[in-house]
Amino acid sequence: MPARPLTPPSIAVLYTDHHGWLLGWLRRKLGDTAHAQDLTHDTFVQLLAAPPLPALDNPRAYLATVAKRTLFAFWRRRDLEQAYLDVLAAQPRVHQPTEEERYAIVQALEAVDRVLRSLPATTRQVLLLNQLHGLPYREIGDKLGIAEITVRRHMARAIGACCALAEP
Amino acid sequence: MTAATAHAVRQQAIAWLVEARSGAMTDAQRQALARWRAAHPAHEAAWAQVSGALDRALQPLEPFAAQGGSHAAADAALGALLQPDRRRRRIAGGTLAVAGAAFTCLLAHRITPLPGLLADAHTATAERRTVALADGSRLLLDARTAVDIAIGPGSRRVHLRQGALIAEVAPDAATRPFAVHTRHGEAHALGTRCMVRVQDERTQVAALAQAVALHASDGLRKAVVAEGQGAWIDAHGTITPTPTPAADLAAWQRGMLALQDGTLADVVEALRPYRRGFIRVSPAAARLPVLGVFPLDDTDHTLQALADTLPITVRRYQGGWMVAIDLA
Repeated sequence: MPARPLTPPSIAVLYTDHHGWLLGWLRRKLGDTAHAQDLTHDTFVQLLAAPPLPALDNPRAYLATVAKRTLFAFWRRRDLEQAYLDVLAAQPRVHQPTEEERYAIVQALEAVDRVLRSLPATTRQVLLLNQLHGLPYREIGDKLGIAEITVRRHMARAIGACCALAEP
Repeated sequence: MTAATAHAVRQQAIAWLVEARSGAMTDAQRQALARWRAAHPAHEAAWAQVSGALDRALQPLEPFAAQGGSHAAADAALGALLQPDRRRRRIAGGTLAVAGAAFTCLLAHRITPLPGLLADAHTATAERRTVALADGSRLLLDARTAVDIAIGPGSRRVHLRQGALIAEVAPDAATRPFAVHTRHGEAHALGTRCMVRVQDERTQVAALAQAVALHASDGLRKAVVAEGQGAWIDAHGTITPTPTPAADLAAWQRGMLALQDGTLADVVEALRPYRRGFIRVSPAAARLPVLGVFPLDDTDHTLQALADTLPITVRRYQGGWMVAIDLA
């Protein structure tokens, strides 16, 4: 009996036929071979974790769609990390995170970002000031120049969004 | 219950949760919330669902929350999460703008070196190392420690940026003083051996052989720590003796943590530099009293020993990268 392949054959075929093309495509987007290799790998990992492949007329278009998602997540992670470190660096006498801590920090920020990114900026800000800084609504209102009743409306909207995402 | 009522109950639960987080809830409102939850099982269920969803969504932010006077991490997380998603917006409306919301990155993010850690000498996670100084003195650096060294014609100074060290001070023909300074103050070795550890909010000093003179960074407060004793200097320049003897404070030089009157928070704080990844401990579990001697070089063993003897659960994620400790 022949050994069973480890991956569904369609993905193995995709990999063999289009791996080189995808690497080139990502290298052009990123201008960097090492990151392009990582993201090519991530893209195929995504495909393995996803439901079985549909029949594909144009496999490269499909690969590019999945790869774009990987690319956006990569850019977003980098932006989140950079913004975090920029704010930290602007403060004197603060412990700078180690590499391991930075990894965990980016993971945590990314998880919350996925929940919050559909919300308007003010709604995000209200929720985060309440959660991270423990500010009461009156102080949040003063800080943002909005009425306390408006702060409450933003909180309700943010909580509603968290519930909607939590649903199957 | 009809779908319409379920929706209405959900909206009520959200309204109550908004109230509960206002920072201005009165006792009367608290009682009214308790009555509303008890009035119908559907109320309690909706409350659990809504508050649970919010807790789960915000749970990753727990380590960033502002504590006491320190809100650096909270400010940084706020800054990061308020950033507009530039690229996503550019292609919004496209086929995959919001498609993969539950998208997990299975690979570690490759990270470039941090320019802030350009210290004269530093150690990595779980590494202890001895550094010889030009004057013949030696520094033993604890894990994840960074120091700058300045041996000059008139003084010998070590700036401890992060972590802990034990200084073995060589006698000096030119009688130059030997000082270890941190963001909170300075420790002047009056004898031959002392330990200094810097944390975010305070610095710990132990006099291992002969006394150490402490100067808070405000330049006003001073104290002398006698041999065998330890002391803290905090961010306000207040100096307080530690109940723990100096030898226990320096037990890390042999890879051990010795606690006579500690908490789980102290153990976790000591383990962090010895473990790759992240240890998160819930505030309730952090307060548990802990007594004993624990190996630092085998953190898995120590975490297991804690799980065996304390009313806690220790959960490991991502192959031990992330450890979460909660009350059982």
